[in-house]
Amino acid sequence: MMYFNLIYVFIKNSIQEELEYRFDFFMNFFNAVISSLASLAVIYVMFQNANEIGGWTFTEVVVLIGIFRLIRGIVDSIIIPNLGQLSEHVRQGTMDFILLKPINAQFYVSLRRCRVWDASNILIGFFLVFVGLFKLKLFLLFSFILGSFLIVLSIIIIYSIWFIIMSLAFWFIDVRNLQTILNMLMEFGQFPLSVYPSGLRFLFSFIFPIAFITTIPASALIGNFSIHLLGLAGLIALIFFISSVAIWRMALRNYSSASS
Amino acid sequence: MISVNNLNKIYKVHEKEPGFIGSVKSLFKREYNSIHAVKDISFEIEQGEIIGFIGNNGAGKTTTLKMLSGLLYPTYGSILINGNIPQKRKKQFLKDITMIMGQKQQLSWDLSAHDSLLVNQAVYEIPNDVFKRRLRFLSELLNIEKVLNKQVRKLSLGERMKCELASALIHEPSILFLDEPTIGLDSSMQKTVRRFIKEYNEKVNATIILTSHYMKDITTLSDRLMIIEQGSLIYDNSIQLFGDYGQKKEITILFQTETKVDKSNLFDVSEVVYVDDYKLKVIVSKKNVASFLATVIDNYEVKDININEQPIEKIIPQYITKYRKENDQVIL
Amino acid sequence: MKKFFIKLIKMTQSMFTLQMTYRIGIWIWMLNGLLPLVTMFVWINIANENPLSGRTSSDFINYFLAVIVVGQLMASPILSRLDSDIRYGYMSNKLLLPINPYWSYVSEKISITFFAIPFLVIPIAIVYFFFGLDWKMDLFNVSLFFISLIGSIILQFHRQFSMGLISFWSDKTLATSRVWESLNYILSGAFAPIDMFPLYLQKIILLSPFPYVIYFPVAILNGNLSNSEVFLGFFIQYSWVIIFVFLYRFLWYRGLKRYGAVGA
Repeated sequence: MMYFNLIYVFIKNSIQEELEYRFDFFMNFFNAVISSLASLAVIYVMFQNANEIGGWTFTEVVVLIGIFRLIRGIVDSIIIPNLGQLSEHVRQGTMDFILLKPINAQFYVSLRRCRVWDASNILIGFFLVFVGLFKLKLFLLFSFILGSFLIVLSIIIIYSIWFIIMSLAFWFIDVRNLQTILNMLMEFGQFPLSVYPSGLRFLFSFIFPIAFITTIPASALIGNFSIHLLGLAGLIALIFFISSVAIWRMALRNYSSASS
Repeated sequence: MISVNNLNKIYKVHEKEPGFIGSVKSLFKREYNSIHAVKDISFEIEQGEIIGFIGNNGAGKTTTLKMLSGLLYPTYGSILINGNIPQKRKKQFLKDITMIMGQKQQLSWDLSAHDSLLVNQAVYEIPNDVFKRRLRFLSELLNIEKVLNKQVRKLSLGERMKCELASALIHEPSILFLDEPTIGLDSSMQKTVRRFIKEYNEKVNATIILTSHYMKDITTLSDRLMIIEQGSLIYDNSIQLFGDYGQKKEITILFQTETKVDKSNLFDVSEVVYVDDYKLKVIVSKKNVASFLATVIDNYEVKDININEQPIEKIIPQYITKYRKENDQVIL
Repeated sequence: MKKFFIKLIKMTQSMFTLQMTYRIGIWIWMLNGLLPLVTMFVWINIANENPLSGRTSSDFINYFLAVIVVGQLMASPILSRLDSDIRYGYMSNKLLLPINPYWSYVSEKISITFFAIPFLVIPIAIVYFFFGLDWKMDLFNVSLFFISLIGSIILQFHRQFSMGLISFWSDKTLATSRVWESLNYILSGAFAPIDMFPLYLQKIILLSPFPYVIYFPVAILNGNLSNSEVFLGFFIQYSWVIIFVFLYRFLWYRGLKRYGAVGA
C-alpha cells in the first residue's frame, strides 16, 4: 500500500519537475514520430524487395516495431533516468541518503523519477501495435492477454539487465558509458529474431534476450504462441530479476565495507 | 540511548601496481593492506545529549558516524541504538535517525524544497496533519517560508542548507548525525543553524552527534566532547572539564602607569599576544605562571591581572599532539 | 602558413593526449557506428533467398562494411562540444587564444579520427578473411572514392558545426540534432542503399545533403554508380559543401556578436 502511494508521489513529483521543460515535450514527440517514420520507411523499402522477412509480413513487422517503441519509451522515460543516476549516487556519495531511508533501496533508485516527456515512444508504440492488429483483423482476446503478459515480462527483463549493468557502478564508479552498448544491442529488437544468423540468435535469446523483449511478445500478439515459449519467457524474466536483486545485495555489501 | 562496545573497523585496501601489467598481476595475486580506521571505541550516550565529535581528517570520524547509522558494518564490536542494531536497517530504526552531510545535498536540484519534502512525507509515512504541523514548525524556526517553493537551484547556499535541514528532520528523528552541517556558510548563517539545532534538541529531546571544523559550533552546542585520533577515542568527557587539559594560560595585565615592557625580562612567556603602554597579553605555560607573575609584580606597577584558560580550539591540537607523542613512545 | 600548420599539429597533439585519457569512453561511443549491422543482417537474410536488384548477400556485406568505415570517419563530438562551449561559456577560453577557435574544433576532429582506426581495421580484416573483400579497387575508382570521402568529411563537419552554433540562440540544439539524425537514419543510405528505394524517391533524396555523407562514397567504393552518376554526384556534393561552409561562417560571426553581448 505504502509503495503504491510512493509511486503516485514519485510520478506527481516528476511531472512537476518536468513542467519546467514543457517545450521539450513537443520536441520529443516530434523526434519520436520522425524516428518511427524512419524505421517504418526502412522496412517499407525492404518490403519493396521482399514479401516477408524472416517469415514475417509487413504488417506483422509493424506490430513488432510497435512493441520495440513501447519498450524504448519505457527505457527512456523510466529506466535510464533512474538507473543512469546510480553512478552519480555512488560517485557523489548521495547513495548514503538513499540507504538511510526506511524503504527498499532498490525500489527507490529504480522508480524515483520518470521523464514524462520522453514517453512519446510509448504512445507511438501502442498506436503501431493497434494499427498493425487492426490491419491484420486480429483481435483474439487470448492472444491479447498473453501478449500483454509477455510485455510485462519483457519490461522486467530489460529493467533487470539495465540494473545489473548499472550496479557495476559500485565497483567501477563511472559506468554510464555502458548504456551506449545496451542501447545499441536493443536496436536489434526492431526485427524478428529469425533474420539473424544462429550465433546471434543464441546471444539474443539467452545472454541479452532481446528476443524475449520484442519478438516473442509480438508473435504472441499476432497469434503465434506456444506454451513452451511462455514458460521460457517467465523463467528468463525470473532469472534476470533474481540476478538483479542478488547483484544489488552484493553491491551494497561491497559498498558498506568500502572506505568512506 | 546509544551504547557502543569495542567498536572496530579494519579496511582491507587492495594494493595494485600501476599500469596494465599491474592490473593483470592483481587478477592472480592480490596484496592487501589493512587500515585500522577505528580501534576499540566504547561509549554510551543518553537521550538528549549533544556530543561534539572532533578529530583530524582521516582520524575515523566519518567511519564511526557511518557505522552508527548502519551504512558501514563494524569489523567487530557492537552498536545498540534504542535497542536496535543499526546494520539490520529496521524500518523503525531508520525512521528514528537522520544524517546531514554538509558537503552532500539530497534535495533535488530541479524541484522546490517543498516538492522534495512531499516525497519524504510518503517515504516516512507521515500523516497529512502531522506533516503540516511539523513543516510549519520547521519553516518558522528556520525562517524559510518564502524559499520553500522556489527551485532549489535558485537558492543561496545558506537557504539551501536550511532547506536540507528541514527535509532531513521532517520525520522528527530523535537521533541526529550531523557531519559538518555549517561548512561553507557565513558566520551569521552558522549562528542561525546553531540556534536551530539547539532549539530542535530542546523541543524533541533529540540526541545529536555533531562533527564540525568550526569549534564555535561545538562549544556553543555540546555539553560533551569526544575526540578521536588515529581511530582511538582519546577524550570523552564534559566540555568544561576539557579546559583543565590546557597546558598554557592566557594572562592579561593592566598597568597603573605608562610602561615600557622590557621583553628580555619575560623569559617565561611562550607568546606575546598584545602589548602597548598600558596592557600586556601573553600566553604562559602553566608551570611558569607563578614565576612569571612574580617577575611582573616585582618589576612593574600592576593595576589588574586576569588569568584565563585558553580557548578550546587551542587546547585540542595540544591534546592530540600530546597523545601522539605518548603513543609513539609506547610503540618504540 | 608554415607557422599555422605547426600550431595546428601542436593543437592536435595536445587534443590527442587529452582524448587518450578518455579512450575507453570514446571507443564505447564509437560502437554506435556499428549500428548499421542491424539492418545488414536483415538485408542479407532477404538476399539469401533471391538477389535484390543484382545484390547478393556478399554484396550487402561489402556495402555495409563500407558504410561502417565511412561512418566512423564522419563521427565527431563537435556538435555537443560546441553546445556546451557556448552555453556554459567555455568558448571564452578558446576565444582568448591567438588562433580562430574553428581550428581547435578541427584539431579535435583530426585527433579523434585516430581513435577510429581499430574500427576500420578490424571490420575490414574480418570481411577480408571470412567473406572476401569485393570493393572496386582500381586506381581511378579509389581516387574518386577519396575525393568523395573528403567532400563527405568537410560536409559533415560544417553541417555539425553549423548546427552546434544554434546554441548561440537556443538551448534546444541537441534535440534539433536528433531530428537530423532520424532523417539521416533513412536518407543517408546507412541502413538501406538508396538505390533500393522507389525511383521517384531516389531522385528527391539524391538532391538532399544526406546521401553525400555516407551513401555516395560507399556506392563509389562498391562500384554501384555509373560515371555520369558519379559526376553529377560530385556536383551536388560539393555544392552542399559550399553551402554549409558559408552557413557556418554566417552563423559563426552572427553568433559571436551575440555571445559577446551576453557577456558569458
